[in-house]
Amino acid sequence: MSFTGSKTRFIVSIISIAIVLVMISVSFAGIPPFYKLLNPATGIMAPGPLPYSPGEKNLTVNVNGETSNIIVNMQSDGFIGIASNNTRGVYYEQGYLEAKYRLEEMTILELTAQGNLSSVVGPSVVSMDVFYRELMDNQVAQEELNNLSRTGTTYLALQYFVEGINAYISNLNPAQLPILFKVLSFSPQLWTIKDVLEVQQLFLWENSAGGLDPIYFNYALEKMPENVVKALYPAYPAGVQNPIVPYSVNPSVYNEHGDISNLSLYNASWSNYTKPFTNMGTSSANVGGLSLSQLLTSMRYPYKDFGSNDWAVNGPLTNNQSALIANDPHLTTSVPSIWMGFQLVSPGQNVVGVVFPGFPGVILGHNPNVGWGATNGQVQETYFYEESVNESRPWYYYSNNSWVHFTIYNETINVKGAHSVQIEVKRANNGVLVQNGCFPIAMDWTGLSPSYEISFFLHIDKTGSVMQFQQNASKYFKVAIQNWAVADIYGNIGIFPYGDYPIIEKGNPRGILPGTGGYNWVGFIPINQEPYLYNPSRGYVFSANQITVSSNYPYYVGWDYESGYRADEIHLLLNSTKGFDTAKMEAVQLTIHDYTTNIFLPKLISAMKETGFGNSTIYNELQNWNGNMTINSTAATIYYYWIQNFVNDVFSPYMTYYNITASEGLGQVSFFLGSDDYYHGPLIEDLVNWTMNYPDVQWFSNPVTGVHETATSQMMLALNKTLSYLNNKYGKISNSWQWGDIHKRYLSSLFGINSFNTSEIPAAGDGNTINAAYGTISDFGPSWRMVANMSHAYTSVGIYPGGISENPISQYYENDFVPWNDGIYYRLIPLTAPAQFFYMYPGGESP
Amino acid sequence: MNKKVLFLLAYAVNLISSLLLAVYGLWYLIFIPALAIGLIFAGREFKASIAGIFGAIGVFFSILVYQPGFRIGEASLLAGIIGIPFGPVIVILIMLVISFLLVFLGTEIGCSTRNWKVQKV
Repeated sequence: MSFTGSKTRFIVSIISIAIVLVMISVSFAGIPPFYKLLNPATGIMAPGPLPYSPGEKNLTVNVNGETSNIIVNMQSDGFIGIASNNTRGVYYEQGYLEAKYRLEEMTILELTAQGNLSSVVGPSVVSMDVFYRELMDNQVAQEELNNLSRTGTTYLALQYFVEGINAYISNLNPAQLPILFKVLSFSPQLWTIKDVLEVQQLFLWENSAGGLDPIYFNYALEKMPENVVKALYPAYPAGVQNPIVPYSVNPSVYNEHGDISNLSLYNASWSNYTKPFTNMGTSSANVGGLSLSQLLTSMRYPYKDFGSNDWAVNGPLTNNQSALIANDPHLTTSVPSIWMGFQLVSPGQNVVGVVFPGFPGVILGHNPNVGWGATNGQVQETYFYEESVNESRPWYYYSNNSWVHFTIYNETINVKGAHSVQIEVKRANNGVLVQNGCFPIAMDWTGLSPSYEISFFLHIDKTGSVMQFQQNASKYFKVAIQNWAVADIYGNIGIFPYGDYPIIEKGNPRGILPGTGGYNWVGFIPINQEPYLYNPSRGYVFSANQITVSSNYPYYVGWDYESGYRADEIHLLLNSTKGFDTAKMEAVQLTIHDYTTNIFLPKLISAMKETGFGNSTIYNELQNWNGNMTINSTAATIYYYWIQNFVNDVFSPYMTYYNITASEGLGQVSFFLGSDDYYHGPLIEDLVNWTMNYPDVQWFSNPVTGVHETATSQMMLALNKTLSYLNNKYGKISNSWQWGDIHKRYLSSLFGINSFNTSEIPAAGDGNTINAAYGTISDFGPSWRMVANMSHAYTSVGIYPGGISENPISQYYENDFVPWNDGIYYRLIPLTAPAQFFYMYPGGESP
Repeated sequence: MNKKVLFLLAYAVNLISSLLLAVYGLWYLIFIPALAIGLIFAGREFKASIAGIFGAIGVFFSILVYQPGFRIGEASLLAGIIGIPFGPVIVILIMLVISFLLVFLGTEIGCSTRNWKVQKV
């Protein structure tokens, strides 16, 4: 820089500094001004809050005139014990600590549930906000709040919990806000009870199976002839399934007439393929520009996963010594985890387990008397209807021979950096419009009415027996049906897939139904007819998202289940193991044997021998393999790619032949060859059935080329394709083909920030193993593992991947990842914990 | 006073004032003390520009004095979020460049103001 004189230099300097000041004061590309962001005292490099520090603390808290003495015991595995002399203290402190360690996570969940995420993130998530407004979380949560007794258990627990959250937020120094808030220029707002209920609605939706299946499946019903639908998509799976509540074990729930005989499960009830949905995007602009394709995208939310295991054993399997429970819900393994671990001790309560941040209490865990776990029921909880709307009277729909006015909710979505979006949410008597325009589609979901699952959790945290648990489930748990496996201190076990199962009088619920009124829900399956097991003589109950009931169950409950191979493996192990203790339960939970190898591997080996592959290295590898997906197995790698190719090679020609396209779900849903088709849905089950029982059936032949194929020829085609792929990618068979070199686990950022992901580590298992690790680079698997022996429940063990902190630079961000991958368990109530944490156990003290 | 000592003192004041302003959240005002310090450097533009370096060092020290690991880690997270390479380096560098420019230009203004007045007289 050169100056011709002092005056010039003065002016240039003034202008330059003005430019610098302006530049650091403006925000660009969505990033806050540098003067704020880079401010060493208040920006992203500001000093942080005190980090998580294991140890014990004693607190006295006075809220609204009530004094609580609280002991907080923070463990190095991230579990936090809270003991208080009163109920307020325990939930207050839980709210405070959830906010302290997971404020970003809670806030994102809250904003998502409210349909307000775009007010913080910007236009990219407007379609998601539109959808959550259409789910009416706000209105349903308000109704729930209105119905809660102000002196009841639920309301008070929520009140204390929210007081704790707000105590933390109110005292938060802006300089110590989490980094995402600083980058988004966002300050968290105080919570209300309604906010918690809205988050409940979000999780109910995310755990409601079925989703948009009927919209996708309607394409199959329209495009494929009935005999093909029957062959490829039977309404009851044709494969090997061990139902959760089989007729042989509890015939009492199979007695009624039911609705299934009135339904037509192989034909489209509504058919209008000539005007496909995908052309409707522009006409739906009046609901926020949400086209169907956008809707599908917005619903693929990262938490929406269905895969889990739970089982309980007693009597003959434990030498009549005790009842034990194991559970591992399979969700996205994220950082931060969707779980937080707590032990909550207060008068009449000592519960330990995990909870979603934003919820009070414990969702999965045990108390001194009862232990419980859950798997997703995978029953159908969403039904779709095509409404008849007169274009000149768009606020009316035709139902039961008359025009009925929609109930209309006007919603404003504020969008950061853009104009706000106005939408009309239209509710009919058979659901809420999720697709507007010429062919309005309404979705009915059991969660559109108030329900009290939080009440269920708060009650079971204190429940005293399996029978009491059953009563609470039947009373409070309605939406997002789970298979609740339960064991108690008295040696009882049970499994209760309770909830609202809709009943319709006619039509095909697998597809879109006419919205004219005759196909609406007419009620729910009566509670005494809902499937359940209590103390079956065989000594065990189990579920792994397999089909709920036997084929003669009188009610329709759904059709698109997990394919049942994890369940088959559990069934096999429970039948072949005696004298169960905690170690044996852990061993089952960590099993990495793929049950499908019992079915396919002998057939494949036989096919190889028949076709002259009998002396090959590959043949020897597969023949000497035991079906365990271990990290040093090359056979595991071959098998993994082979089974995928087998499924795809057999069914892909049918998708082509019947013109199922990507916009109709091809490659996205399991029944149209989604990435999960080797462990979920009907296609893999068809393949098992045909390979085992009908190896020459016509369905192996290629409908496009007309080439005749059999099970053997298709298996060999798939093998050749697999070997060609592996040779090209990894060279000749060697250690580089080992499963652990190809198959890895990582924890993905809950906020979708790739740099916040953990590193990838070699992992055993696949999508069909009890210890599941779906995909090749997997962030999907057991999000929580627990085993409890209810005869001395204080020795229970568990672990969740990740850590307590949501800050990637904390040493407690991913500290439990490697131990979890290695199959390590921690004592949930450590021996070193203060005596109050053993309250209600022998030797414990009152809090 | 010896000019050398005076300049060293000015640099030290610059460093400390930048550090203190950064610690107290007034980072963007570090050019104000630099205006006064600039008066000392009349006619010595190069020496004045060195003041900018000391200002940047002061700001950097404000990060190092308390929880340096955490704060540099946070810079690294920001880099990850907005997708810039080399971990925290570029983020910290941007902050230091801005600090340098603010102090340097502040010093320049002070420096040129004094010259200007002298010439007018």
